[in-house]
Amino acid sequence: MEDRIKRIYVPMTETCFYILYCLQEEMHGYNIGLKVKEMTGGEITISPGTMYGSLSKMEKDGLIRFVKEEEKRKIYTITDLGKQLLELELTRIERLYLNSKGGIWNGIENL
Amino acid sequence: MESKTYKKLFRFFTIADFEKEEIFLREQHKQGWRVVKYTLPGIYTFESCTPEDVVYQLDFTDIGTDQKSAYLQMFTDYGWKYLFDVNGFSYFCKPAASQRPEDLTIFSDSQSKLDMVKKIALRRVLPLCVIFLCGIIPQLPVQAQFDSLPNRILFGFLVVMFVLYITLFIHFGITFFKLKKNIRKDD
Repeated sequence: MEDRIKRIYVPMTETCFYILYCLQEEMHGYNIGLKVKEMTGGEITISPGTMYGSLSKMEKDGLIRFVKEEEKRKIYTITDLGKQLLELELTRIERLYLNSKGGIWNGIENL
Repeated sequence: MESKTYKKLFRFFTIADFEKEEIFLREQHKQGWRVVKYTLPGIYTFESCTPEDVVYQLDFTDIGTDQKSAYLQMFTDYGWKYLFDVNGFSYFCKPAASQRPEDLTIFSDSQSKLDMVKKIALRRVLPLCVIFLCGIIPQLPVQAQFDSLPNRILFGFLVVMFVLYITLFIHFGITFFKLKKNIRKDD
């Protein structure tokens, strides 16, 4: 993985995290927004300007890939690089969570 | 049916003033004037309408025409009405009634807003910098040497341009760093 990609996406913004997480299934931007709203109990909103900009940026960086267009809506899915980054981020969050509960992190053995 | 009346207003907003422009359009709508057209450098045409609180948002993009319909579709899905494009900016609006504040902005984090301002910097401010450094600056001392009337007029013009450019650069710089500061606060 390129250093530049790591610098940008590790750690990840919430917007980026939720988009990557949702794109483990093929989906278009507005549906990602709806799903994120639902799964976070309305806590996280990804507005259209942010959504469109993030999707374009993540596509350019190779984290996600354009699948097809349906009724003017662009459908995307996660790439292998995206999966790797999501995995890195999930591990980081596990560590944070464990440490916040007073635990000691021993690498991936904890998982 | 009541006939529509129109009015024209002149307001000058620089490319860094998009937030002020959004407020201006919202205030006009509250007073019963809906923007229908905007012509550079600052002529707004309004149509009379029922006074309503409508939020206006501007997005600066560099997307191609082939991507435009998918781009606009996303905003439509989110409940934004697309008005028009001027100078690289797309204008959107949405009635504020019974909406939560987070649904009344097109940027949910300051990072993406900063990304937009960076695009403005690259597409609009950078070309101006080139004109400024390669056109205006070298011409100033040249024109100052001559004493004829046309040269004086040209010199005067260059001085005005110089002041305008400097003002714009400073103004844009301030907007840019304010946004950057906001991002650090978010982190």
